[in-house]
Order: sequence, then C-alpha cells, then structure tokens
Amino acid sequence: MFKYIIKRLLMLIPILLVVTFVIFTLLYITPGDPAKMILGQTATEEAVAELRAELGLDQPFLIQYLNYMKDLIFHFDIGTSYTTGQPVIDEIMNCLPATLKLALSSILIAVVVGVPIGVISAVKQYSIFDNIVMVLGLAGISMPVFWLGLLLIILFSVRLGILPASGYSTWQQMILPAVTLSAQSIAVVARMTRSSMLEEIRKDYIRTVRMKGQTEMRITIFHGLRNALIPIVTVIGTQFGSLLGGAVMCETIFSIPGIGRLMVDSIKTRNFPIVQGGVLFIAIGFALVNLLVDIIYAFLDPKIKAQYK
Amino acid sequence: MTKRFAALFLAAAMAVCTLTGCGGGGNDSETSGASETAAVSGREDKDTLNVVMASDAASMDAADTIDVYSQMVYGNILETLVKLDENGEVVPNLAEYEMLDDVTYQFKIKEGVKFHNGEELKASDVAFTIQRGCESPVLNYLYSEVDPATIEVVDDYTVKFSLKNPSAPFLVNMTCNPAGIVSEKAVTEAGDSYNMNPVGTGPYKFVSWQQGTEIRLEAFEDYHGEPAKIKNVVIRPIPEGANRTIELESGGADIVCDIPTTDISRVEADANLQLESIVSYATTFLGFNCEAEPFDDVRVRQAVCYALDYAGITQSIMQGYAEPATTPVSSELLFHDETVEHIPYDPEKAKELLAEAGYPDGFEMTITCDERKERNDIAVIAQSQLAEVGITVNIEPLEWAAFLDKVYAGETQSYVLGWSSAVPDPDMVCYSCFHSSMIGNGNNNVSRINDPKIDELLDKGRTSFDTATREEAYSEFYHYLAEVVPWDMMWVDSKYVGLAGDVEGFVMDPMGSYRFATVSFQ
Amino acid sequence: MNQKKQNKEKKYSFWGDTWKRLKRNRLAMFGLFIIGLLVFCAIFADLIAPYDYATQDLMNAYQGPSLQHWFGTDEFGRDILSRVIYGTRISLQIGFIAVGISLIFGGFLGAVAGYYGGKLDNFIMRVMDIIMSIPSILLAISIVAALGSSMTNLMIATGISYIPSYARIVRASILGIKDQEFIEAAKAVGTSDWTIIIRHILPNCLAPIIVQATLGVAFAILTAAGLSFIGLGIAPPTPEWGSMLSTGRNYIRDYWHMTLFPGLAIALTIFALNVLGDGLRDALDPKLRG
Repeated sequence: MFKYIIKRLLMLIPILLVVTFVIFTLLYITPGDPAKMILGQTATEEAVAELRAELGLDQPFLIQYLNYMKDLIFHFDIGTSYTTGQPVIDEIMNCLPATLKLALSSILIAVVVGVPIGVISAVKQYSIFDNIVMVLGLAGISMPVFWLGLLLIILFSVRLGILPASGYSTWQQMILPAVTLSAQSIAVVARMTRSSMLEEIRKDYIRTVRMKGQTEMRITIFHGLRNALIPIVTVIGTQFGSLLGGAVMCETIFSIPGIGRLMVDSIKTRNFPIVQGGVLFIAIGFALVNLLVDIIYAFLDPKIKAQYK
Repeated sequence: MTKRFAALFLAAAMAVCTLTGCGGGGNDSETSGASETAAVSGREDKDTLNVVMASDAASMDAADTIDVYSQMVYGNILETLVKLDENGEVVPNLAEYEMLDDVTYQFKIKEGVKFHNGEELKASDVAFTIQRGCESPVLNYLYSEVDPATIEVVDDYTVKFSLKNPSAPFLVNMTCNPAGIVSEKAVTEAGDSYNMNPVGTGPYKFVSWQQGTEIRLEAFEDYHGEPAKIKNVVIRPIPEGANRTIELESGGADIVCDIPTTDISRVEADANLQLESIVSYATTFLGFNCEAEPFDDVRVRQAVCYALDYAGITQSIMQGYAEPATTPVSSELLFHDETVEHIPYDPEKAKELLAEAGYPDGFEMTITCDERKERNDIAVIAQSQLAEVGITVNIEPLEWAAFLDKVYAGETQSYVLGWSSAVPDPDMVCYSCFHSSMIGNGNNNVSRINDPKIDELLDKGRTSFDTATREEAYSEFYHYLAEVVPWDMMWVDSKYVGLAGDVEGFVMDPMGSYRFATVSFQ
Repeated sequence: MNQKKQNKEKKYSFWGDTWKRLKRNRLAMFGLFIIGLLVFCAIFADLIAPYDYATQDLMNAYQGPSLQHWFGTDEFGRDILSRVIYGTRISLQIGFIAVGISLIFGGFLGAVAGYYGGKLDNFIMRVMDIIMSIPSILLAISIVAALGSSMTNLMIATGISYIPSYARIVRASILGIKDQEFIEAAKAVGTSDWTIIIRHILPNCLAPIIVQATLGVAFAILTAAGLSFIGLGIAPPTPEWGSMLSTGRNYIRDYWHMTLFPGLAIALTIFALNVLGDGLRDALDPKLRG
C-alpha cells in the first residue's frame, strides 16, 4: 500500500512539469502587458518599460521559463505577485481557507442531505417521493451555480433580509454560498446513492439477511448503505473537482476571497506568478484528493486494496 | 465495522474542520454582532467605523501602487508635505515651502511631528522619500522632473532639491497621497515586508491586514494635529456592487464607497441612510485613432460627434448620475472653462459632413471596448445611432488587458475609454494624452493626434508659472479640442458614497480616497 | 411456433429496441421534446421572435413582463424573449461544436491509444491526465484570455477540456473488444487497421459516447455561460444567455426579470439534456434489457 502511494506521488512530478509548461506558454502568448496593468493607464512608457525590465518580462521565453523552473525546483520559490510584491505562496495560503471552508461545507451539506434522500428514494422506489426527488435532483444539476446564487440572494437577502449576501467569517454568511455550491453535488450524491443502493438491495445476500429476520431499517442502513459507500465516495471525490468551477462563481457572487476568485482576477490582471502558482497548487490538490479517495477505497474494500501494488 | 467507522470518522473530521474555520478566515463575530444592531438607532460600538470599498488594496506602499483602493488606506496613514485648501491653492501641511529659483524648492518641516513608530519626522525622512520616489517606476509620474542628485538635507528640518525643468504642476502633484512621507527607519528595517507594515505620520496607524478580508486602522494618539475622532477603522472589500449596498442597508457598514448606479436612488430615498456625491476627476469618452482612415479626417470625426447624442447616451446609461462632459478632463480640475461647448446632436449635419468628406453612403467602422458594462453600453448605443447616418459599426469587445494592448499599439479605429487624473492639475492628463511627443511607444497619446497648435498650448500651460497665463492656455486648448475632437466626450464620472444615518463629518474626495479622521457618529 | 417468435424478435434492431425503450421513459421524452423545441427556435428564430434581438428602445427600458414584451425588456429596451430565442442559436451552436471538437479529437486519440496499445497508449493517456489535472474552468479561462473572447474561442476552450473523457470511453470500448475473435479474423483477412477501427470498433462505443455527448453539450453550454458571466465570454450585444445573466446581475434588486428568464432558459436546456442523457443511458444499458 505504501509503495503504491509513493508511486502515485512520484507520477505527479512529470505531470506537474508539463502543466507548468503549458500554463507558462499560454500566459506568454496572451496579449496584455502586466507592467502596464500594475502601473495603470496613466503611466508613462519609460516607467512601464522600467517595470517590465524589473519583472524580467522583456527576456526571451525560454530564459523566463528556465528561471521560473530553477526557482521552483531548487528553492521551492514560486515567485512574488506582480501587484502586491508578496510571495505567491503567501497569497495563495491567504485565500485557501476561504475556498476550503466553502468547498467542505458544501460537500458536508451534499452528503448530509444527499445520502439520506438517496437511501429513502431507493427504498421507496417509484413512489411519489422517489419521483419528486429524481426530478428535483435533475433540476439541481441543471441550475447554473451563478444563477442559483443570484436567486438565493434576491430571495433571502434582498426580499426577506434574513441572510447576509457576502463574507465568509460567520456561519450565517456561509449559508447561502454553501447551499448554492452544494446544489449540484446534492443531486449527484443523491442519485448515486439511490442507484448503488438499488443495486445492493437486489443482491442475493440481502435476501438472505431479510429471510433471517432483520428489520428493514437495519438491512437498509447497515448492509445496503455500507456496501454502497464506495461509489458514493467516488462521487464525493469527483465532486471536489467540479466544485472548483462552481467555487469560482460563488466566490465572485458572494464576495468570498478564495482561490477561485484569486485565479480569475490574476488572469485578468496578467499577474502571471499567481496564475502559475495557483494552477500548480490546484493540480497538486486535485491529485492529492484523488489519491485520498483511492486510499479510502482501500479502507472500505479489501478487494480493491489488494489491487494496489 | 471498521470501514464504517473510518468513513464516519473522516466525515466528522471534515465537519469539525469546517466549523472551526480551518485556521484563518477571521473570527469576526464582533463585527457581525455590531452589524445586527447598528441599523437600529442607538449604535452600540461608537469606537469602530466600518468601511466597505469595491476592491482590496494591493499594497500599503505608494511605491508599489497608486490604485485608488490602496490609496484610500495609505492616504490615512501617510501625510504629504503640502496640501490643497478649499480654493485649490497649495498650502503647507507637514512643511512650509519656498521656491529659491524656478527649479529649486526648499521645504522647512514642522517640528515635533511623530511617526507611528515613535520616531520624529526629520528632513532625512523627506529626502529619503523623495529619493525613493525618483527610483520607483510607479511614482514616476510625480517625481520624474526631480533631479535626484540635487536632493540635499540642509539641516534636521530643512531639505531642498531641484527639478530638471521648471514645472508649474509640480507642487500640486506633491499634494497627492502617493507623495506621502515615509519613515526612513521603518522602510529600511522592514525591507521587503514594508508594504504590509506601513509607517507614516497620519492620524491613523496601521494595525493589520488580512488580505481579501479586512484592513484595520487605529487612531494615532501622538498625532501632531487634530486627533481622529473614531478610534478603530475596519475596511473591507466587497466587489459585487449590489452586495455593497445590501451591506449598507443591513447596517453591516457605515461608509460604503462606489454605490452602483442602479442603487443610488434607493440609497437616496432611504431615510436611514445618507448619500454623498462628488464629481470625480475621471471622464469617459469615445476616442478616435487620428492617424488612420477614416478618422484622420477631422470632418469624419466631427460627423460622428454630430451623429451621437452624447447627453442622451449619458442620461440613458448613467440615469442622471453623471454629468455630460464638454472638456477632455473633468470639470473639477483646475482651470476648467464653463464656456466650452460640445458638438450638438444633429444627424443631418453629420450626413452633410460625411458627404463632404467623401462618404456620402457612410462607411464601416469598428468600436473596440473592454468588458465593463458602461463602456459596452456606449458602444451598443453608438452602433444604433450611427446606423441612422449610414455608418455601420462592428463592436469588438476585448478583455481589459488585451484592450489596452490594442489601443496603445494604434490598432483600433475607435475605442471606448475613460481617463482619470491622478492630480487636480490638468497638465498631467492633457500633456500625456494630446501632445505629439506622446504618440506611440506605449505613451498615452492614444488618439495619436499630432497638432502643433495643441502642442504649443500644452507647452505653455506646463511651463508658465503665472496662473492667469495657464488658465488662458488651457481655455484655448479646450475650445480647440472641442473642434478637432480626437475624443468624443461622453460624461464626467461622479463618485457616490453611502453613509449610515448617524455618520457625520465625512468629506468627499474627487479621487475616491477618503480620509476618516474627521468622521464621527452623532 | 418458436421459429415465428424468433423471427419476430429479430425484427427489433438494436436501435429500434433502444428507441422503444426510450419512448417508455416519459421524462426522457419530455427532455427530447424540449431539445426539439430549442432546435426549432434556433433554426426559425427569425420567424418566431417578435422583435429583432438588437433593436433598442431606450424609452421602454427596464420594463417588466407585459403583453408586448412577454419577458420584459432589458436596459436598452431590447425584448428579452427575442433575445432568449436567438440565444438558443448561440448556445446550441457552442454546445454541439464544442462536443464535436472533443469527440473528434478525443475519439481519435482514444482509438489510437486503445488499438495500438503499448507506449503510444501510455503516452496518450498521460497527456490526457495532464489535461484533466488542469481544472477545466481555469483552462477555459486561460484559453479565452490568450486567444480572445469570441464564440470560436469559447467553443475551442470548452471543447479541449472534455477531450480526455471521450478518449477514455473510446479506449475502454476498444480494449473491451480488441481481442475478440472477429477482430482477429478481420486482421487475418488483411483489413486495414483503420477500417477495423471505423467499421467494427466504433459502432460499439457509440452508446456510451452518445450519452456522454448529450451531457457534454450541457456542460459546454454551462461553461460558456459561466465564462460570459465572469466577463470572459461573448460580450453584448450578442444574446448569449450567460452574458445576459451577467448584465442582469447589476439589476437584480429592481429588475430581476432580467436574470430570471435567461437563467430559466439555461436551466431548462441543461435539464432536458440531462434527462435525455439519462434516458439514453437506461435505454442502452444491456443489464436492463430483458
């Protein structure tokens, strides 16, 4: 198992190398001058040229790339932000808690709400509850995050005035963003739970347990759910990935200073070091989450564990 | 069993992590507590002023950035040598000044002024600040004329230096926030981390900055002038316009900058809130590329001006919350001339001019704009109005950075742009935008107009020290510009700030960097 | 007797059978109907839209829903209903072309990887991994920022991020049947690799690809709308739903009809596509066939 983990971590390296190169190239060919963005429209050209030289932007592509990689590999230095002069790593770390808070709370909501709904749907298949849930679930996946967020703000902040529309420090402030972001995940988790439960319930061993005289409740939760956990965990893992896209929208609408917004803003202001550092960070994060999910699999199912060599 | 426990344990861990905030994120239950009650009369916490602005500051160091949000913060922390009084005259602030000859300035600093770190303000700090300004590309626009070799510390409280050329606007430039005096000791000791720990002589001192979340300031007890009335200031960024207004209405903020146009009437009508406004130093316009066809012909430019109803466009987009503009720079700058007239809306005259210029059937053109709604809107309405005189418009929306690139490279035919003056003196904008020496190479004459008469008037405005001469020069310049129209002016932006009902003493600033020392609660 | 029954069963081809099963799924048929309606709107927009999508009427701006303007007007007095109708054209175009791009490139790469195996397979799948590790939204934003925001670039940006999914599907299908006898037979007879891939293998992956494609169109439309929303997509006056939402955002407090209708359009389209995709998945699922 341990060897497997190490192997996975090592495989990260070539992937990250290529990712940095791709992003670096993309940024290089992007029109727009970071120096001008920093100094603003009104700056004189000599000032802009000076700043450009200071930031090393006037050097040829390969030199810039090699310098960046050199700092990255030998000093673990991913540069400093063009606008604030702060180390990129600090800026990212500043934004991380907000995004994590948002992501985790929405996954929590998704699981806490989605799993029970899925279970009940499965048990009462084809009932009215099931049908309503299926349709709502589909609606949940279909709603664009940014639209849902706006609608919730209109309803709860503007019309009813009971929930704040921005910020992320207090739990009241987190309600709207977390719910908005979780909408899609709830739907996916509920449906996944439902379908894996349905599969489990049909299996022979459930029949055996039932004949043995166990109560329905116990069968459902104890036996059915337990084995349905694996696909559920998969879904949670993959949801984490698509959460980032939704997080960008949520952070924009609800004024949460998270990584998503940092990335979008940095791309707009051509703050290259942050974009590169951010993508690197996120790619690593993704890979780690996937690894974590695989490890949880191993915990949950010894058959899978045996496959990890 | 173990599997289930593992899964449950992980879930619980995540839950605990989330609810305790995973480190950071701010535990500002204080602020939110205050926000619930502040809307109701009887403010609980009279010691804290909650301010909201549209974006986070980029840095606390003027040498890094002059963006308006950073300025708002460091403008309260630093002080300048001189300041402008109500009449727009330069008067002493931290120092008295004297001109020894037409390029040499001598400043005598007030004694006993303390920095936030306890040190006394000395001439060496001023010399250091000016030297630093000369070396910073960001502050180039203020200090470019200063000859660093001539900076001299005459004694503990006197400093003098010379400019390379006489510059009438120089002193006015020195009244701007970024020219604030810094502590040599603080800067040299902090090194790279200075921009997160500024030290100045101003009425507020810097306490903390949680990026993206809040900046905290505290009143400086040893301030040399009238101390700040409210002890604590908390400044927060909220980029979404509608959310800023909601924050004001719910009592979460006492001062909200940049109220969006759509919410202005709402704040005005609200009995619990106050609305303050001021005409700013920024203008918005449709610019032409005077070097390329068809806008190299002044008649074509004039035709477009006649075809566009600039006042109607302004009214439609800004809903009456911005004044139509007649001059290229804001009416709030020095030497404004009220008698300048904008080309009126006259589509018939437009068609006449077009025929005269050789385009009786109109032509096709492109308007390039960036993604901002208001700029876009101008292009969209222009498209519709120009179609009436036979001109087909293609709108090319670009992302801001790409947009700037293209405009500066002279690759656009016409573009929707805004220009803000960083100083109250018109020279900075006018010279860099219209003087022929500023064409190309990334310089700011994006309309690429090359006109000796313009050059002459601008040179006169820059080099004469006599106010009357300058006034005359700029007046003539504005009238002339209204004829040759390298820019079709649209409006002068105004700034709108929403205040809680019990806020007093707030002073508006045309550049949007507000000072809080005079603010108090009723 | 048995012969007759067998003959009758043979009449139902694979696709006919699928269609029959799909028809039974009412929700999926509803989805199909909606998609049909949208395609109809897209093609005949000029005929059904009451107004032109760009006609301004500044005197009547910000109107709520009324008899003359069923969905109200926007900030320029343009009719929102017409803009939503024309918007179907844009969204569907983006959706289909983006999916087309991912399908062709992804399918090709997956086919090559699966069929030839070995180092080529490894290399291609690693490249797919890399594309997948850059979050699609960031990739899309970067591409649009680099190439400029236009409809074409939007399609490219959304198309690229979905390539790995199709590659995987095609590759998996190929791996599934690569070693079967009839392939061996075809090879023995001397059929070229390409013919084998196209004639024999691809038809077998069609099922999962179709499902994926339906969902892919939904994803592309959503991504494009999202990009427009944050200002990097198609900017006004083109009536793209996402950018309509983005401008409506400024007016949510007073004129929320400007946000409601484009949002509904997006949600309905995505809903229909998802439901159809699910229905297709169920209809094509061998496990559920008798």
